[in-house]
Amino acid sequence: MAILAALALALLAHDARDTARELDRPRTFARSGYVGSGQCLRCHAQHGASFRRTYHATMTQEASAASVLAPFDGSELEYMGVRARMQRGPRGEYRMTFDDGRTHWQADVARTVGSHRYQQFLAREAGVYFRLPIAWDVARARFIHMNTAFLTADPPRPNPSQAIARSDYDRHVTRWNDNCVFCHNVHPNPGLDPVTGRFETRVAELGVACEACHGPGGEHVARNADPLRRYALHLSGRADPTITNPRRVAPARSAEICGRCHGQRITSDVSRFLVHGDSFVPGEPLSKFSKPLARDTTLHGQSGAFAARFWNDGTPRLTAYEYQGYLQSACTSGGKLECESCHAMHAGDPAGQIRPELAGDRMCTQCHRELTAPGAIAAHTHHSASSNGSRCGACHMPNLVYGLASVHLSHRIETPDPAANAASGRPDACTSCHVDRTRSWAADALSRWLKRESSTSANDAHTELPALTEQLLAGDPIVRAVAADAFGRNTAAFAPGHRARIVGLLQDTLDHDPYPAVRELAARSLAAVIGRGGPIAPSALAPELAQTLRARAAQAAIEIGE
Amino acid sequence: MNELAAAAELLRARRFGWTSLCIWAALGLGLEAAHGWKLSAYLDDPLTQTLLRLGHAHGVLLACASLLYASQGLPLLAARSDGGHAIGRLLRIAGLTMPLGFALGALGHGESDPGVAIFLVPAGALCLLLALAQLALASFRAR
Repeated sequence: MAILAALALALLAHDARDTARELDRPRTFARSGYVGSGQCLRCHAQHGASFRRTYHATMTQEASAASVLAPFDGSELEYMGVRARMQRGPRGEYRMTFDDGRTHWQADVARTVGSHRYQQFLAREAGVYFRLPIAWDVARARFIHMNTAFLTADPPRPNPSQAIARSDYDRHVTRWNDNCVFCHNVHPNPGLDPVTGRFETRVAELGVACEACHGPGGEHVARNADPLRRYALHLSGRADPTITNPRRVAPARSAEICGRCHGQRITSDVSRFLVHGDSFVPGEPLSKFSKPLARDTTLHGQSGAFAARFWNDGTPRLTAYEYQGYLQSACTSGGKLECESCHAMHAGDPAGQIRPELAGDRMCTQCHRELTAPGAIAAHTHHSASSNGSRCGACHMPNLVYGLASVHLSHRIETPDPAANAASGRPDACTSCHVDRTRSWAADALSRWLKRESSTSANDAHTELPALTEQLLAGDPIVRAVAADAFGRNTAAFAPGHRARIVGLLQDTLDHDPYPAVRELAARSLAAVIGRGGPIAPSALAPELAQTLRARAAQAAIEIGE
Repeated sequence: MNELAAAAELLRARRFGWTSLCIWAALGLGLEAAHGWKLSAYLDDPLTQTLLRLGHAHGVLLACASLLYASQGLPLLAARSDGGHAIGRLLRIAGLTMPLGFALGALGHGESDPGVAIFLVPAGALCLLLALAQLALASFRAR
């Protein structure tokens, strides 16, 4: 017995020595294969369950009764003379048929993309997936044309009885294999054959699953089959070198993992990406493979290709550029801020994925503790502590980012500066809430609070109209979308006498704006403002002035798709 | 000497068996109560459930094994000078460490791995196998 015990102890000691050595061996990125979330769930069932609640997990799915959120029950949607009908085919296919009065065409849904705000549909043709022109608006339970989600003006229509051109109707029918595939799946590889132009697209897993953020799990699974290794890791408290844990890497590196998709980027070798896929592995520097787009990023040597996606001061004004906003934030310079400072991938409400313990201002006061002292918030904000104006995000992360027929808060955490914002042609935090006020009013108020000289004298032209009024009528489509949305927010503050004017402005936008997305936001705000009660009157704006402003807006037409 | 040692061993095996059976059966009652009162710390943690059930089951079965050893095993070891004390000790070590390893493994466990106390289980299992092997051998030798 003693001999057996001694033998067992000797074996254990030998194994423990090997384990200690093995723990120090780094991951071999090149050899580490993707295994799929099914393998991960065998050991990480709780993390799997918490992640499956999120909209990341259902980002791309094969079409099925479980994944298709829209009722394909014969519903119809007419847009610019083209009638789309959504119904089931004879074998249960999710089928869209289109009729423009002259021709008739159809497509069967093969995959779905998204499940939170909108669900888009993909059809398969000759091994290639195409996005269909109709999407499902989840919150409002209705079908929409993609022009409503993306900022695209109504196409020209020869006459009211004739439908728009098929190419205009299919403006957003884009190929999935070399577009959507990159951010909505694990380890995407378009697989473009540069000779034939054909795609052999492969992904490690459809949707955003475990390995999208943690990296390939093959080596992790193999090396952790050894129980001694697992216990040595647990007891030592060390990070496992075989897998990336975004919470255990440097904040900047952790943010890069999110920034890969939440920060549109460009690579110097696009063709390599299309042929071999994106080689980025979470935990490696993102800059090895691509760099985030900026206002001055050039495309084929030409500047300005991406300028419309940013405000003039470089602040992103579209969603999926949150990483750029993060990089521009003052909070980032300390080196401690990471996406997971506020967000949680395995906890909280799936909408927004805010860390549950940090709801509201606690996201900011976890670092800015001085603001939790009694009276500190009101002294800091010059607003009542309980008012919307005292919420951190209202001033430091204003809603000025457009995405999928919604306006979202900016991820550039900054100090409000209405004068500088006016100079760079972007909305400011103050007049985004005080919707009946001018920019100079906002700039003067801030100067008074900060006891500095006002710098608004050069902006007298802006003082004639409330900032939001001018933006709604004369801005480019994103400015108008942001303004249309701001009027309807429950944080919008205006004197009772301005209500009739706001209703008139929104009605005017609804009647005249050529962008369906702007009209959609105006319609929502109109309903919200009317819902507040009080008298309604036609626009109080002089018709000539409105016409002049609309002419300025027409010159600022842009189109933002993917 | 053999008879005295055997009598002492019989007493130890009975004491251990009945006491252990009482304790681990009581844990079973506790688990039923956790179900009855819908104790979330137990119901929401599948690994804790599994480990406590394993602790309960091993505890009860090994207590029964100790009693079986007292009635059916000891007569086979009458010829041994220690009266079967060494084998009985192995059985009692197994009866103690295996259920305790499972039950205590529920404390501080990871997402899919029990706490470090689980290492008591293989040690106990080794003792159990050694004891059973010797008992099996004795059963062949007995007339």
